Amino acid sequence: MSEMLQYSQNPRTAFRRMDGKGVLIVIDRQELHALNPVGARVWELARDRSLEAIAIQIQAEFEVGAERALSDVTSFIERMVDLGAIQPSRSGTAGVGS
Amino acid sequence: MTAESFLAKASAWRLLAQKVDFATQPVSAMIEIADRCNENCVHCYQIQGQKGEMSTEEIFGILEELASMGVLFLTISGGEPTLRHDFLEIVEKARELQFAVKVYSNGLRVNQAMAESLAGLAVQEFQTSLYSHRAEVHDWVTRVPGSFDKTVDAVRYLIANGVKVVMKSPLMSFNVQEYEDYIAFVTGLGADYQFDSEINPREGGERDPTSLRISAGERTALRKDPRVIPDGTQKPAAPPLAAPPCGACKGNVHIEANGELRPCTLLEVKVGDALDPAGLAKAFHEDPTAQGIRSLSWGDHHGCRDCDLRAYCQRCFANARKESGDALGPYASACARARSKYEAVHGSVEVQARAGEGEQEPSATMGPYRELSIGRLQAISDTLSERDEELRQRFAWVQSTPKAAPPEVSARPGQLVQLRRPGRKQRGPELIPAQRKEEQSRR
Repeated sequence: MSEMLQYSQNPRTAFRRMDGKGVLIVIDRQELHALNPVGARVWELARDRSLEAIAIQIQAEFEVGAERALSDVTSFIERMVDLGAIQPSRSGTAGVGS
Repeated sequence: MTAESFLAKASAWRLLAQKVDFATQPVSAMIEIADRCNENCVHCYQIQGQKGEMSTEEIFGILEELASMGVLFLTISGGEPTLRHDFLEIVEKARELQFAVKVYSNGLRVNQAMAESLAGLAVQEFQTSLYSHRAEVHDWVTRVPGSFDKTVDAVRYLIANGVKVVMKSPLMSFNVQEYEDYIAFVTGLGADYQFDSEINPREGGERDPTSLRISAGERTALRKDPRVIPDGTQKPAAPPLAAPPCGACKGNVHIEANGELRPCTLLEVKVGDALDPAGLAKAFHEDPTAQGIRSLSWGDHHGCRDCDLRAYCQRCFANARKESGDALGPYASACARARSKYEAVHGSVEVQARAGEGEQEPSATMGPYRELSIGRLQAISDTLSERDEELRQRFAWVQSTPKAAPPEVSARPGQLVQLRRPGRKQRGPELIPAQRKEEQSRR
């Protein structure tokens, strides 16, 4: 069983879907961000899932190629981690996620 | 599809205003969860103990509906919300539902443990009222000895635990002289501050609190201080006639302690019931009174639509109704505020009476106004049309019988005043705590 990173929403955030897009607040930074529909969906999928699991779901829902989905999801998640909106954690499971 | 394309940072309301049509999408809600308070503030517009309160389960159900409606910003208020035994459960539920939660409380019951809980739940902001940097003045306002110390202790606990605190104070005739000391005190605690110079009539229409309003000269002077109003001397843009005069029934859901929906906290007009079996969303969107309020624009306000001070005016349906008996017409306190705002921008204001009236005619204190030249205004006629009459017929809530204006009170520090407290019989005269000598000598 290999150890891999999984990603979860930081509970110290607020989020709502509005008109298909997402509005996200990082409470501790008092920052508000607008997410486009794909970003909003990535955010919703970030519940103890790996990058790969999230990318597979995005690929299926938005009809993009596997390579591009993984690349874009990776850079977006990295940005969200920098902003304190998503938290990585180590996990012993490598599944697609719950 | 790039990371940047997912993400755009901007100020909350500007961003939301760009993205959201507030007429169809509420983004914020205020829920008053308690119909009681452990303070008895001299100026309070609320009268507690007459509505009743919802159960925990009912409130949870409402929060779930608000979340599904797309509401993001939630203010939990009262009365005093912390008086409910389930206060923290309600905050916890709101955070589970991913609301950005603000709590508006007097802080009397916030101890270290509650501050830790609120910090742990990632409350976005704790708002509290402190009416002076001097304990004797604050305690006189609240009529609760020791309330100043308890509120300040609460602020210290919250800030030590990393919760953002905003201390709010209405500026009234007895505390306006000391607002600079207030700013220094509050910022010294590490809190932000927010002033309001509007004092509203009470629920039911009693106008006693309005005798505590500051003078026109004080209001103009405050507008020139950027620590009070950052852009108070900049000329605002006039709203188009098709624009709504305020946000009532738009963008925000206001829920009273018993579940009644109202356009806002001040306008005592029922626009549905949050506990309606057909659902909160249906009540919010389809209530005929709410739809009517939503449809009203500046163009539906006789007098105001002809006034050159529209850009400076922040008229309010509720206060218009309570002061003049007509929610869709000019009323004296809004006109006075607009003139103060105009004066802060242009330096001076001279108002001429309407043609055929003496300069001291009371009507000159009320608009509409025509700007003859910069700094020179003339009161003009308030012309009503058939449509105005039609609106009055269509919307029963527009008209009311206003209660008598309160007697002129000189509520200044060190003076003896007779004031009615909310929900109480009139008591004997009260002494407003005097300013300290060293503070007087500094001015």
